[in-house]
Amino acid sequence: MKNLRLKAARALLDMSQQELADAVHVSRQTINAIEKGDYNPTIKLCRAICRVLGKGLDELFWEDEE
Amino acid sequence: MGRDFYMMLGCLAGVLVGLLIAVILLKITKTNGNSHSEYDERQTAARGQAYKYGFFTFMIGDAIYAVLSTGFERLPLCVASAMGLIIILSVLAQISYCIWHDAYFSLNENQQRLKVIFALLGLVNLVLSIGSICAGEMVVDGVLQISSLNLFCVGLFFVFLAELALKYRKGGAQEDEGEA
Repeated sequence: MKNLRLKAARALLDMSQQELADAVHVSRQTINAIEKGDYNPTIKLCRAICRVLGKGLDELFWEDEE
Repeated sequence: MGRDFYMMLGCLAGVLVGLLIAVILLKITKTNGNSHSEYDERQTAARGQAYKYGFFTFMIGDAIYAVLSTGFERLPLCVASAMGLIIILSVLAQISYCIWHDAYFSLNENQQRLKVIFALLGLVNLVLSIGSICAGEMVVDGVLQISSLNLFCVGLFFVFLAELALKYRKGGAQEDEGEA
């Protein structure tokens, strides 16, 4: 499932995938894979992304129950 | 001392030179002067899978060779060539998986420099292969000799660079889609 909230949070800060990747020390392809839902990051990487984007884990990585 | 001894000595020297080149490559292809390759968690997982495919390719190749060498009295390639070919196919399986899963280059890799070095290594092997063919050392009595390893290496580097070029084209399109 695509992580559109991550993509939106990144866009809100006007950050490119590469800039976010550099900030959390992963490759751009890894950020792309997370946004596309192709890769489930570890809690460690989730926390690093949240810290950079100024969001909570729930806001970016918790799936809504529908 | 016979020709075989000098041949073995030559092979040993070749392996040592190869190791030396690998160590130098590890150092000069890094952007931060560190010889240690840094991969992120997704790349590490993908590389684990890639090693699995490389391992199974080796096992299957080895089994096929065992069956063929038992069934046929004479194979069209010597033992060293066969083993080299199996290793090269295994490496190819591993690097192909890594390339297609964006896990070949580490985070601190100078990609351009590495591509140029691999192209040069391919070229050197091509020159050596042509030399062996011209000297008539590549095939003796219908059997591929150890010098054929140079030719297999040319194939390896060619496929490697071709896959990188294809992946780069595909990756470029994905990047346009993925960016906000």
